[in-house]
Amino acid sequence: MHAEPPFLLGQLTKLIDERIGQLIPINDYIVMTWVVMLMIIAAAVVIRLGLKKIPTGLQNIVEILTQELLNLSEPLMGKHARFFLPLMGTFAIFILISNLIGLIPGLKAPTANWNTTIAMAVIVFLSTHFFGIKQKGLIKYLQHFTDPCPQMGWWVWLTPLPYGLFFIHLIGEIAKPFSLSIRLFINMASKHLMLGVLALLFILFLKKLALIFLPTLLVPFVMALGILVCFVQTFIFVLLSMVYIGMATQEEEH
Amino acid sequence: MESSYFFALTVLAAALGVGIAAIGPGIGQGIATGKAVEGIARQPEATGKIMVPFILGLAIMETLVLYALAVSLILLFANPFASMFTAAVVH
Repeated sequence: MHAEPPFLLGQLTKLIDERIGQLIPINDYIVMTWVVMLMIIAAAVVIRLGLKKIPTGLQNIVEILTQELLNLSEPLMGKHARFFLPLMGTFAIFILISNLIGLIPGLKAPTANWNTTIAMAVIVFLSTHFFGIKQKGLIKYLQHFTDPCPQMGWWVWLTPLPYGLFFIHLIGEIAKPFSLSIRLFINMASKHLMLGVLALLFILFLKKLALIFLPTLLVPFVMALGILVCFVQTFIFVLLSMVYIGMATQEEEH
Repeated sequence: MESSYFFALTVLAAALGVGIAAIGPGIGQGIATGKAVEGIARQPEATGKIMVPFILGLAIMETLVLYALAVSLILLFANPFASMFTAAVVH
């Protein structure tokens, strides 16, 4: 039995899917992504139109967020921090709002679907390697994969060691987007599954009223933990993206 | 008859997988939290500097459990081998 909670915008999904379903299949998570996008765009337009020298209201929050992101990324990415701020800021705001919107009953978190998170992780993966190669040049960037070898002298290239290390690092690089996306997706999905199972238990225990306190007591705890997890997972996704991109683009220090 | 064994073993594997996978990261997170609290108690002004690598380390340890959880959820809700056993029942 699937513990699927009811979805408020299910009618809308069905309506859109009937129109353009042959071209692109539309599911609930895509509709929720659009809702989150609309919220972010609307907030951005409202803040942009009412931009003031002395900030008030929403502008305060956005300025604090920008400043904090810049403070966080400066030790990790050095002088590229300001260049990558739009990408990292987009990830932070989109993931945070997507995570939090899932806590509202009847709505789903877009990040509770693997497709959303793997798309973001692939963007991180591609930008890591693109800007790494752009920064260092292809040969130096590939040498970086055989990590302790470039400092050891020319003789090391005659041994099989750097070539074996290259493949080990390659597997590590390919595993990065998977771990990045699965971490976010499973955290969100398991929280929703937990809440769904508790709701199911509540309905089951309506016949045995003696046990009904169990799900009733657990739901607030799961919700509180869920809010914490939403913030922590956003922080971790952004921080790890910064670490990955920072490692690929930083200059050699010797 | 075979299918009931299959599904029973699947559920058992899903439950045991997460349980066993939680042992190692649990120990690791305990050690990490202990050390972090020790560091903060010794030097309360370093809380901000300790916090970021601490939370990052906890999340990376937690990912190990989540991999097992992903496998368990696939086994429970999207089992790739289930069609071999349910097809005979439906048709």
